[in-house]
Amino acid sequence: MNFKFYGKKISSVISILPKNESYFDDEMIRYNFPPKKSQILKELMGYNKHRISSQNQLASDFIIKGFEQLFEDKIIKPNEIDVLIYITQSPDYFVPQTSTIIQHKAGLKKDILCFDLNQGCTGFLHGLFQAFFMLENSEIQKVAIANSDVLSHKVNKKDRNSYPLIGDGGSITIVEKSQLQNEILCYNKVFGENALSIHIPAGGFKLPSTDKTAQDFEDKDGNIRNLNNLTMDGASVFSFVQESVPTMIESLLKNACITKEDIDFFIFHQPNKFMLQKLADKLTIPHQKMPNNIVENFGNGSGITIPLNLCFNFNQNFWDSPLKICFGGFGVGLTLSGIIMDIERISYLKLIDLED
Amino acid sequence: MQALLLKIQDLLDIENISPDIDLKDFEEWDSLAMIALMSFIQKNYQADINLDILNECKNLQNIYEAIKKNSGGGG
Repeated sequence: MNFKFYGKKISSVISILPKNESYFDDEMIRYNFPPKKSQILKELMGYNKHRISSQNQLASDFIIKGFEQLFEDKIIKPNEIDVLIYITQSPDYFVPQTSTIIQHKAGLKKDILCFDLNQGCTGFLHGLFQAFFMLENSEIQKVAIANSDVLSHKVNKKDRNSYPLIGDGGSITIVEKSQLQNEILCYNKVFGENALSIHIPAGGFKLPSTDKTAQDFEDKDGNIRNLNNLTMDGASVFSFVQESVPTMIESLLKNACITKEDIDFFIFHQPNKFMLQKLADKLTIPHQKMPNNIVENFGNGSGITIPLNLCFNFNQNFWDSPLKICFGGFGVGLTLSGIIMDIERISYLKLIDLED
Repeated sequence: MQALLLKIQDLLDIENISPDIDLKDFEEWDSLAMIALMSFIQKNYQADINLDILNECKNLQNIYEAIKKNSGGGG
């Protein structure tokens, strides 16, 4: 599905990460594999270290801290935020929505449009879609997109398939109307037939959590987890990405009437280094145009990998003129989202830690 | 092809391998080893060997031949 907007800009991005850093080399001992095999996996996938939140850190804590910092740095005033879009798959409660808890704790105004959105890997792009829709309204000036997750709490520490790459954290992105009438090309596609390629079997209404669902078992590849844990079918997701992302990029480029050489950077969701390198090769784009260093430094924090990519790899002094960026998100759903837009200089790009 | 020999010995955790030994005799010859080898071959020999091709290779000699066949023009 293709759609477009005009005249919107990203004005500030802040990323908030748990202070605690955990290393693959230290975690290896928990896996049911000889150390040599784990080393091969580490080298192949580009694992190194990741940020893991403590058990008492909630996803919402990262956003509340992020707003505190934005207000302290005088980037925005609390009552200027007309919309809060909170994107998470690790809410504080099923009921109520976590966004209203954030509204209160962060001191946002009561006259606000505020809601939760259940999205993961494509969460930042979905946040942008919603922000762009909202900003079409004359009464709405500034939108805050907040993404955060503490999915490590749902991944089994003995699961070598998933634990090495998971990461926690949050980000807040402020989006507003732009003077430049830049054209923003958007794409979205959904593959519900593969919905369970990435899922947590128990804990929802389909299969409530019980003592039984908490019992560990070994899967056919030797990874250990239980039904309350996140499980990912790596092979299925890999082929999904290799097949459908190039089609999406082609469609976006065609609608934008440009070629891939015109794109300055491909800022993609970061499942792991290996998948991104293979994708860059398939798309025949130079690796420098597709930063892929987020998982090896911080882990895959679901919806935050794109804003974190901006905060970590870019600098407000970096850009003189607008950069032509292609955003790409792919993953849980399975969902595929993309945006091509000119991004004017983002004047505030910050990365902070959240202490325990 | 010396680099390939060393890489396979490293992946299978053995000191010496001869070109005709059946790879399936080694427990370490699993999908992880194959993907790691695929990546290595692409980087070092610019040849695109996929999992299906590797699965059909009985021994090191077959892999050498597959690389020669798939490394595009010249040599």
